[in-house]
This record gives sequence, structure tokens and C-alpha cells, in this order.
Amino acid sequence: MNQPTEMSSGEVDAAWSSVVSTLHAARERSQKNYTASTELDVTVLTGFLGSGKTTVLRHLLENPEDLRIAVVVNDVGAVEVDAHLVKDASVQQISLSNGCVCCVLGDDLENQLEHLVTAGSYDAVVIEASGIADPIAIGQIVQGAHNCRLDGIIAVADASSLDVQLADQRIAALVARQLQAAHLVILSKGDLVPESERERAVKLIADVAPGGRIIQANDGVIDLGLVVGAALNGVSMASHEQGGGLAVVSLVVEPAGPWQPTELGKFFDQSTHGLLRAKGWFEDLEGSLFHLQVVGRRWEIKRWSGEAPKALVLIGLNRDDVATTKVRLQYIGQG
Amino acid sequence: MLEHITVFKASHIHTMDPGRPDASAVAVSDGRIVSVGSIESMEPWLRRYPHSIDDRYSDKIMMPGFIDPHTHLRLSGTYMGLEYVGPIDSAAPGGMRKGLPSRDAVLNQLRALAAEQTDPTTPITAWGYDPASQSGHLDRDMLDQISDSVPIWVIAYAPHIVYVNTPMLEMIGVNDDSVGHGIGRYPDGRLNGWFVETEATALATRPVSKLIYGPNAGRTAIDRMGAVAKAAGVTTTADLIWGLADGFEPEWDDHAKAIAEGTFPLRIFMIPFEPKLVREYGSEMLNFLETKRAEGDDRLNTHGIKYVNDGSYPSMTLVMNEPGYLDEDNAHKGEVPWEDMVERMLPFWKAGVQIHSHANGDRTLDMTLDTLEALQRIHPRFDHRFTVEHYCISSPSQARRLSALGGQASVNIYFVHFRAQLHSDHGFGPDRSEATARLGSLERAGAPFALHSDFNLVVTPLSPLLAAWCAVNRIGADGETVLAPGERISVDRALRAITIDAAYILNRDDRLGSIEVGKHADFTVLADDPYQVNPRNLKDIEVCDTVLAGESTN
Repeated sequence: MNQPTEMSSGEVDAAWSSVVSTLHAARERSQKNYTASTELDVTVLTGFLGSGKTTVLRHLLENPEDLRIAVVVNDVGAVEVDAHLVKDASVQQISLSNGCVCCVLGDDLENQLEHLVTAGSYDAVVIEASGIADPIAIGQIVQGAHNCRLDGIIAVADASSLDVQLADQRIAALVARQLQAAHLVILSKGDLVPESERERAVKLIADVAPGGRIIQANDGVIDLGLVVGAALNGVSMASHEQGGGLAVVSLVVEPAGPWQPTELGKFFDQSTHGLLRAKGWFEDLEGSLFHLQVVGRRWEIKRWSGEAPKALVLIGLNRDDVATTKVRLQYIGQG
Repeated sequence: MLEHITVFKASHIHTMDPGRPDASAVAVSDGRIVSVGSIESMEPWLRRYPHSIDDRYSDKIMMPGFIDPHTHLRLSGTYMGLEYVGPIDSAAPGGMRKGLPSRDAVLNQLRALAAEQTDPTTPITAWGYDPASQSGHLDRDMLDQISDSVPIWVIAYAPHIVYVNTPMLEMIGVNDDSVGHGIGRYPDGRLNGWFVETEATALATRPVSKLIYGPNAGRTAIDRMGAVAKAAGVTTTADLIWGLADGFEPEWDDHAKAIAEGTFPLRIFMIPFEPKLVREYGSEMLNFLETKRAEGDDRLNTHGIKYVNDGSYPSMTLVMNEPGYLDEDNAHKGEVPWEDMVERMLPFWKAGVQIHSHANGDRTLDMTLDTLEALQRIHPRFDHRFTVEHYCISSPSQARRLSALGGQASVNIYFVHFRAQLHSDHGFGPDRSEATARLGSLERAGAPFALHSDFNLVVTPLSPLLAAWCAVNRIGADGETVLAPGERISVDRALRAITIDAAYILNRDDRLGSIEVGKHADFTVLADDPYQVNPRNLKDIEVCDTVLAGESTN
């Protein structure tokens, strides 16, 4: 919650329109009858123009790791997916041989999402928010859509131009809002700038959006599981440390629980857990099963009916943080 | 035979009648102007009839009541059941609301609202709190000290967070055992009244949203937004999407009631949304409009017909000619297929109903002009006042063609300041962004035009003086760059575009828009003279009062 103290009347109008969409989404949601069935994970990818959203999306589409991902973008042509993968292409939609699809954002996002749910052939959706859209408003639409679940809001920030953007009063408020709304921030183009500039960008993000989780990714190369929660659905509950440029660490807590859901919620409310993502199932003291999902600062605990392994996978940037969090979680279990 | 004449004196009156532009007094009887000039010049009237002199505006500037010819007060107002408690000045019901400098000031304001609250089951709802500049977050205990019986709900300026008190927690239906991301707690585990981020804010907003969109929402909206418009000096407006939200009769009735009960200090024209009118009334549509016209009066009436033929400027959904969008092209056309446009407009055109046709993009404007030309071929008309609404992206040749076909434009000028520079790099590209809303071209082509806000369907404020400021200065969001200087217009022309020319756009320049004998006595009272101040300060002139049919609305 860090706002610029100098604001213009135009910003008040922008703020007001966000409040309006929050009110409106709440109304839409309360007017709907929800049927219990599987929900489709929807990730909102935000970031100012030129920040590198499209590069991240291209990487996802070309490396979906057996997931069928529907990507909703402003301009299908701009994504430029590897031609070998393209099965069928039009101005509206590109179908890929790996089961993914890339389609144009229509007038009515809510309807579009509900159609993707009904189609039933996708594991996850990633929406590319317009570079000048307020991602909170889009998050609210996702929450209002039937059988969709907001997996997380992920911002892409450009290490080479973030300082200029935040100094430009025409766009600073919007860029700040995008970073604040994000549960994870991907810092792009860090390899194209001197170390000092990259560090300054990290600090700027921390100033504008304190407590945010920052992941650095060059050329859009990012662990699928960080962007798309569904990638963790069938995760083999085995710890692994990834090689390559990104030192993402995942550790598994097994068996998970028994925990009181409220106690676990309090734990994740403290933003010191150092996790980028976590996902899995745990048991409470009465033996009921719960599903936990964490994306950066955001978490969700839901009662689970059916079978599931009592295990959590924890994903973070460095082994110490993740290992510490693992120990603290086990301690909650004993306490 | 006049019963009584009231004479308003002012330090200066700008009549907007070019033949007799200046005056120091205006005489009013029974809501109409009897004479305009000086106390001396109107002596022949005053000698014959009982009269009184009202000098409450004697050190003020008077102008014709401002006209915003394109708003959506009822529709947008349904959102506005919220008090503003933000750190900087903002338009709000009752006028510009001063920013509140600190948390204490916000708490004091909420305390005052709680004291006024007569119904303890209706929450106090407020928006705009900024914990960074207003010295820290609110929380449940703080808000409980204001009231432990009236629910209080405050959403932050960036709506990541909602703050509530204990009664509101009960209304939301959460307690200390509730689990959910973003439901805030004190260190001891007790809920602290915070709801942070999307799920939690949505949870906290549901009960409030139900109230805001409740059965009386339309009427409440009209009252609130009417107050916003009045504070900006507006005395006449038009609702350009009549029928869309809740239907023709309910929307009309809400306005009629608000006027009858004295809570809506404006004249308003209800302009029906064509697809809805066609769906609802079919072959009876023209009869319906005729009936409503007969039922209406000088305060509430219907007029014209409205088409929406592309998207909006800020959402980059308008339809553009080559070379098209820079990026983020989401162009969409309206509900009526373009190829059916002539056929759809023809019955109204032939019946003499004025057509208001929304065109934001230049491709849409081409289609609109083609349609107007076809209508003229089929059934030639003079003085039809076919109006292009918004007129955001256009070329000089389109202005000349519009003029040649006898058309006119109602222009959203606010985007020049609030959005154009952003879209230089995004969506429309530098050329068309800079030349957003070409008023200079319209003036050179001789096409009549007015300025409007579209309040509040797009992110722009409602303030005719701010609109005039944008038109005269064309200063971008950076506060210095002048955008397309050749599209600027003079102060006089800009002031005409919010008074007499706006009346012309609504085909009521015979009764409204200038201070002339026989016209409605609608005035806007200003603290400073817009013809005398530095044009860069036009937007800062204080609106002191409005006069509607000879009566102060304060």
C-alpha cells in the first residue's frame, strides 16, 4: 500500500473507475448461482507496453509441459509462435499442435472465459491485460466469471525502462498500480542492462509494491509452474532444484498437517514466508482434507472433497528461504 | 400581464448573444427573461410592473446556464453511493470535495456521517482513502470508535483494500474463525477489519454492492449526479442512452419524480437508445416518442434518437482508418450492423427526429458521413442537426464533409488533456493522438459544435469550464505540451460551445443557451470573468451558483 502523494484529478478518475469495477463485479458475482464443479485457473498477466508480456506468453505456448493452455491476447499476430507448432491460424485464433490455443480478447471477457470453461479442453487460461489496463478490474471480472478461479496476477516489469516509466507522470500511476496489483513480478530484460540498473529496478519495485515477490527472467524463460498454477496439479511430489539460469527451488512437505486452516492462513498472511508458489493438500485436526494454493502474497484454502495426497509443494527462489518455511510449517503442525 | 419582475444585478453579464454581448442586469418573470441590459435600459418594464432587485450576484459574473449535451447521470450515478475521503480534490455530489489531508480528518468526516445516519442498518460507504499520504491505515477498532452500531465501509483509493468496523463485519458474515486470503487480523488473531486484494475486497463489497444497486438506485443516482452537474455550473443536460439500463418508463419516471420533489436542479432531455427502442416498441416506436414529447415539458422531455456505432477512446475500441492501430487493437462496431444503418435511420430521418450518432474513430466517422449522404439523397432535409457524438479521431476533410452535409458535432474534448499523450505511444499513435478532437478544423469548416463530458461512462470529469480550458489550451497530461496547436479555439468559441452552441446541438437554441429576452432564465454564476482571466486558469474559476427558471438552486 504505497501510493504517490502527488496525484492529479485524472488519477482520481482512474481510481474511481477501479472502484466502480470492484462494486460491479461484486454485484455480478452475487447475482449468479454457482454450481460446484471444477474451476479453470486463470492467470492475469499485466505490465506496461513493451515490458515483455508477449515474450513470456510465447515461451508458455511453446513450452506448455503437457498442459493445454489457452492464452487470451490483444493481438494474436504479435505473439509470433514458432511456425512449426501452428496447426491452424486466423486473425482471431491460433491453434497449436501441442493443444494450446492463442485467441483474441473479445468485447466480453466474462463470456469468453465461460466459453473456455465450457469447451473443457483447457487446463489453464492466461489473459494478457492491455498495457494500459488496470489489472485489478480484470481480476474482478475473472472472479465474477462462472467456474473460473483467479490463479494470480503476474506483472512483467522492464528492467531497462522501469525508472523512466515511474518518472513519467502520464503513466507512473498506472505502472505503479500494475505492480501493486501483482502477486508475482517478473523482471524482464535484466540481462540487457548493467547490474546497477537491474538492482535499481528491483529496489523500485520493492518501493512501489512492498512485499512483492520478484522473479528475474530473460527472454521470457520462466518456470511454467510460477505463471500457471495448474502446472503444479500433477506435480510429482519430489523435491528438485532446477539447473539453468533460474534457481527455483521446490521442496515438499509430507505429510502435510494436521493444521487448523485459520492457523495456516495466519502463517501465509505474514509475507515473510519467502515462497513464490505453494500448492497441495493438508488435513485439519478432525481429519478433513483442504486444498491450499499460494501465489506470492496471495493464498487460498478450500475444503476438498475426494482423494488427494496429503502433501504440499513449496517453491521459492533460494533453498534457505524454502527450507526455513518448510520447518516453520511443520512447527505449526506440532504447535 | 406580468405579476412580478425580479432583476438580477451582476458585475458583468456575458449574454452569449453576439449582437448584444454585455449587460449588467437581467430581468426575470415567471421563469423567463423579460429584459437584459442595465437597470436604466429596462426602466420601461420596471415602470409598468411590480419588481424587486436581487443583488446577491452583484459582485459576480453571470453567464447563460452551462449545457453538457451528452451525459449518463442516472446510469453512472448508480455507482456513486459513496462518499469521497481521498487526499486530493475530486468532483463529488455537492460540488468539488476538498481532499482530506490526514487520517484524523478522514475519521472526523466519517464521524459526521455516522452522526447524520438515521437508519442504522444502512452502511456508511466511502472511497478514496490513501494510507500513504493520509498517515496510515484505518482499522476496525478505530472505526468502532466512530460507531459500534452503524456499519462503516471504506475502500481505498487504489481499491486493493477495504476497511470496515464490527457491524460491517457482521453484515459481511465473517468472524474470527473465518479463513480467507486478505482477511486481516491483529497480532492476537482477532479480525482487524481489513479486506485486502481481489477475493477479500469482493467478499467485503458484496453487501454494499447489493445496496448500491438496490431498487432505489436510479433515483438516488439522479439526485447525486444532478448535484455533481449543478456544482459544475450545468443547468441543462441530455441522457444519451435512455432506456438501456432499466427501460424507458422507469428511467423517465425517476427523473419526473426527482424534478417534482425538487431534488434535480437541471433540465434534461432523454435521448432514446435506438436498438432498445426498436426491440421494445417496434412499429410503435415513433408513436411512443410522440406521446412522451407531449407528456414532457421544459424540464423533462425527449428529443432525437441515439446510435452507438463503435467503441470508446480510452478502451481503444474505436474503429480507425489506415494505418490502423499502433498496438492493442480491440476495435468493435456497435449493435446495429453498419450495412443496415441507412435503413435503420431512415424512419427517424423522414419523421424529422434528430439523429445523434456516436463515432469515435475516423473509419466510423466515414461510415456515418456516408450514411448521412445517403439519407440526404433519399430524402433531402434542411436544418436536420444530424449530430456526430464524441468526434474523437477525425481529419480536416471529414470536418468539411460534415459541414457540407449540414451535420454538426458534439465533442468529448477532455481526452486531449487526460489521455492523448498516453495514446501517442499506445493504440492510436502520435499523429491521431495529438489531433484528438479537432475543434479548430470544425470551426474552419463552419460546422457547429458543442463540448460534452459523456460523464461518467468514460474516465473524464464533468466540468464545462474544464472542457473549455481543454479546448482553448490543448495542454497534454504532462502539463506543458500543447497538442495540435492549430486545433485550439478561442475563449469565446469555447464558451459558446458550452452554452448557446450546445443549445443548438440539442435543437433548443430558441429557448436556451443565451441570455436573451423570452428565453428560460437559466444562469451560471461565476466568481471570476472567463473572458478576463488568463486562459490557462479557465478551469480554476469558481462556480458560485446556478439559477434555474429564475430561482437560485443553492
